[in-house]
Amino acid sequence: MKLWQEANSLTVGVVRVNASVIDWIRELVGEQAAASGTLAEAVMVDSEMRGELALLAGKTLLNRGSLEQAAELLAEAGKHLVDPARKAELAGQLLALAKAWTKRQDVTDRSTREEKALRGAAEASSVQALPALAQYFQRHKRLPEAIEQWREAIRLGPQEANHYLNLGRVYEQSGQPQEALAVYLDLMEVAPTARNYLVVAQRLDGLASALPEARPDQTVKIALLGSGTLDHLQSYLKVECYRAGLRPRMYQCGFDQYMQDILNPQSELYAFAPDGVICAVHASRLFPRIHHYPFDMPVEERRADMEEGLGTVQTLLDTLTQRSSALVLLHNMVAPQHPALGIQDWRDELGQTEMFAQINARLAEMVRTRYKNVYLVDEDRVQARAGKARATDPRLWLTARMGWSDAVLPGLAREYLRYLKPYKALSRKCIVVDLDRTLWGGVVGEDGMGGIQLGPDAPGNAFVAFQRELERLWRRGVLLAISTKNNEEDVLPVFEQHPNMVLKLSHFAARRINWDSKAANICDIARELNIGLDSLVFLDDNPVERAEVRAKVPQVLTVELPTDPAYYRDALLELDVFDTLALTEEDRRRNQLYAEQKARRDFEAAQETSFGSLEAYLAELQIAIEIDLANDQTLPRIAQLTNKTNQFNLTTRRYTEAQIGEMQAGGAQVYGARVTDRFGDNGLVGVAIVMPQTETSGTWDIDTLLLSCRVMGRGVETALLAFLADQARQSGIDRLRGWYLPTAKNSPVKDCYQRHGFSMVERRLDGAELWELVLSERAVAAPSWLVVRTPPALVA
Amino acid sequence: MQARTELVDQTREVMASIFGMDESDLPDDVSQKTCSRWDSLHHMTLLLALEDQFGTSFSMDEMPEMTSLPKIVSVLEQHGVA
Repeated sequence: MKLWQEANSLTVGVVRVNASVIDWIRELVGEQAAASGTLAEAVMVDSEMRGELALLAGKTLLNRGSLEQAAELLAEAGKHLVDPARKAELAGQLLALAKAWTKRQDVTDRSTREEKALRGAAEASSVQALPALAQYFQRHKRLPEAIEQWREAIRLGPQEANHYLNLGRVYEQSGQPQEALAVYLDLMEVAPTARNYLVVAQRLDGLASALPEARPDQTVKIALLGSGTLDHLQSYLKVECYRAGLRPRMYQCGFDQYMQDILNPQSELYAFAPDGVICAVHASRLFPRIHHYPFDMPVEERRADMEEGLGTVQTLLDTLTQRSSALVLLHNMVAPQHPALGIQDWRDELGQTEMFAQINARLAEMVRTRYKNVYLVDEDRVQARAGKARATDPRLWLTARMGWSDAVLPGLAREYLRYLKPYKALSRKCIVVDLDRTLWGGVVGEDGMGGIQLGPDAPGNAFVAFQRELERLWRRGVLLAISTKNNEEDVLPVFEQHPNMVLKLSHFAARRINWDSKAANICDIARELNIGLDSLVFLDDNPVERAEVRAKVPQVLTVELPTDPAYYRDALLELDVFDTLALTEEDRRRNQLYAEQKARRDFEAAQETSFGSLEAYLAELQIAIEIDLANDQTLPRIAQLTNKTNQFNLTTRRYTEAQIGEMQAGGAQVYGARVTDRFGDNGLVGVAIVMPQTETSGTWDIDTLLLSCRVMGRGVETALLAFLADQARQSGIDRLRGWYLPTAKNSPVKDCYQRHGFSMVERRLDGAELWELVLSERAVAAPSWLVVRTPPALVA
Repeated sequence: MQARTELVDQTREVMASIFGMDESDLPDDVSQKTCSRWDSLHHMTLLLALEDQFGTSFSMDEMPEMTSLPKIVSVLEQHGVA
């Protein structure tokens, strides 16, 4: 109390010398002060006023260096102040007090006092003071508390990049690298700025060795070759790989050393054994004269220069694809923004713009017709999307030979991921959509079919455009499904009768029209379609539904749909998660396949009671399986299946077409199995690859045995194994051996070999099992209910 | 003075992140000569990160001159960053 009185007199002392402060206090104190005549008495009855004065006094004492007294008064102020602006001021004073304590070497418990001040500041204004408090804990190695405070700081200021970087650092320090990674990836979602890409890339380098070893299907080795400085491209690509769930290892050629790396068989490039090779060579290196002043050259010379540059590319690709089976991503050429002859360019025969168009067309043709594993990266389009005027920065080119600015690097890195994702089986297969305010405007249950927005005029045309885009993806083989909180009788007539509906019920492979939780419905849909949750994309206008799905089934990609339906279509187009490396016959027919599948399920349900046994039911399905060696027509599909099949896959080995070709050349037999039944053609759905064992003669190793999930449970694998046994016997082979390599998804085939009479000969610590069948001792017979056909050439 | 200290701290923070070092290992007068991680690539990366953070753009003449923490801060100040 004594101190308090002292403070009051002190405050009065201060206000005396400052007339404007006196006015301010008068205004606050008002009538009461006037009536009582003394400031101090008024203060005693008004809590907020008491706080004000304590703050003012505390501030004065702090400036004078009386820290202990200032601390007491500021604490007093904290008890009374309510006004947010005043509390923010108090927090500022307490932060200053905390800082002042750190400098008081003479006080032994200064750090306790500092903490107290910081806690008080955080109480007065969390946004302002939490970072300082978190840093205090970080400095004193009180990591759990630092984590707690940084998390709270992020909750309050989700846009503050430094909070994430600090939290990530604390997780790293406390030996939680996976949590650190998650925080850095959160930051990239919130603020994908140039600084954050570069800083996070740096952090990821430090983190890589601390993270637990990744599964093989999550790792990727990428080599970057090119003619400029590639370091920043590598940083952006690294970040994008982690965002896509991949753990990259990177190799980068020396400055402008792409040619040496490819041509020298002993180069570091080949020693690195990349899964993917990116070739980003600038047009000025491959087509120097055409790039600079083609107008000096007669047309024949221009043609000759084009051929020369294209010839160089072909030589490089020939060599690269012979020595490596990696996926190659070749940049096309970016036409100069300012044609050499200005507006005359198009009048000039084979002018510069025309030449670049021809070069790019020829590159595309070369890649398409000559190589199985080379893909063209359309850098010209990627730059155009970013804005060519901003995509390059002359300062960076002139000072550091950096060919891209931060305006285009994220787009370029993401473009590579469009190839790497399907290569690593990370593409999405199915879109689950909501209906009201998503497929059409309005709520059909309330507005009626006539009242919803869907038609040729705005805003209904935004929904038509969105539906068209969904339909286009459907034509490419992406599955569609409905999840809506609605009544069937309100919703179904829209599909059947509304004249402007692009999507009909037949477009949807599954639908859940009910009032259950969307997360539950989505899991149900995944089960019905027999695909993983990580194959799904969820589109819903309602942020509450999105939050529920995101929280309960994080494997599903829940898209932040824009609030304005005009941008729905763009949001869908920007996703880039549905790409496949080859558009196979099976992709184009997938929708029909699923319609047939639905008929099968209905058949199954109808027959469940009338069939005495499963076998009788399967016999009724009239399954026929056709097995043949891989050929040019079937190879793309076979490679695709090795890359996307997860459940029925004994070894989950991923191969490119080129790698399978290499295995064939090395003596492997690659078989594809096509399955038909009474409802239609399932397409090529099974793959078996056998290798003659080199160490033990008379043995075949089953390198790969897989089935698409849509034909699981029908004895197709038995027919395949019986076929392999037959082939082996005819070749004088007595033993079939095969590994079961467990993954997160292939437990359905854990007992596959056991069921077929194989015996286990080896079991490793990681759960891998080697199974063997001695053909002279045990036979495998194809199930009686299905017909197996093989081409005559295969029957000896 | 307050603004300058803050600018130094913010710059140091970016530096530490880009160089993969602790802020405490970057004294106020740290320069390309005294810091082994400050190579030409890290130099460019640092400048681009600073441009992004402070919403400014350094000229081709300034870039090679910004070889110490005080020099960087003085260029930032000339650019009106506070």
